[in-house]
Amino acid sequence: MDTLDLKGIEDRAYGTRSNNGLLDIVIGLGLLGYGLLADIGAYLVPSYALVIALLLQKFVVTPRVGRVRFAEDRRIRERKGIVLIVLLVLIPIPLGLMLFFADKLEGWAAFVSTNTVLILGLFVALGMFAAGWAKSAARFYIYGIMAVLNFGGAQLFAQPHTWPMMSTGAIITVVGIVLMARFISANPVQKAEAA
Amino acid sequence: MAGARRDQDAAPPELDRLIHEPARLAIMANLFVVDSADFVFLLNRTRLTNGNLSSHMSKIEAAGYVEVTKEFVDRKPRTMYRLTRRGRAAFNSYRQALLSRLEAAEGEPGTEP
Repeated sequence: MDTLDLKGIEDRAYGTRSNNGLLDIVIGLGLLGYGLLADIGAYLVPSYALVIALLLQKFVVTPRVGRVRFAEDRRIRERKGIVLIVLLVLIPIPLGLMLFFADKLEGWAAFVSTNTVLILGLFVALGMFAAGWAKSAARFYIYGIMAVLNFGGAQLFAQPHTWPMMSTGAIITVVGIVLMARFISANPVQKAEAA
Repeated sequence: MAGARRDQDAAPPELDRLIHEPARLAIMANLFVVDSADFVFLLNRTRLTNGNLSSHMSKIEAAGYVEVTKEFVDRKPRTMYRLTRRGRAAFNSYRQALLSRLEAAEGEPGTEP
């Protein structure tokens, strides 16, 4: 009966993509890098996470699970998830600029400027939820809740936003490394190619 | 009533012997749930050996159930497989036939409920 459970087969196949820890490592290192280097103005440095992701994809993931193009509904969902995440990354930029150039901080501007860390945490959490929805990976919802708690705690105790960035990023990176180690041990490198 | 009895007594639909073989069933099922996949993906999902998978793929391809696309990426060959419309229809028919047989077997005396 196992081979008739097509949803299960598709889920397991997709799981090799969504549960290999790669996305966790990218997001975790991105947050960690930003948290570590933001104070010295190196805002673009976390892009190294993308380079690491590309290298891991090419040399670790693909040799083990090959290349696959999933069905249309999966691809649409992933595309929507990427659009959502890009929007969540872009929206705080004009918001920050508006606050920076505002003459007076009144109303919503005053609220945002006094709760910056918490609001940043909400954007991070929404990004996690979007990633979890797009990749059908429930652990990203937990990351989102963790981000709200970390950033909320930092707001409460008047800590800079880099602290929750680093702590959230470090935890996600560790989870990603554990997932990738399990993925590597469960999926040996396939050296073969069709004749 | 007589018509219904005739339906019950009718021989269950034939199973496609090409798909019914376990390794080929695994290949077909994995290709059915995706748009297309390469040889390494099928190796990983089916856990067959290289030679075994090649041999089964040749049979499935010869039946017209799979279309094969070969390309070179970074000077390495990459073979992509995709179920043809005929292959999808055959797999669907196989599933229906197997399900109807299983349902028929459930109603027979001596089978677990």
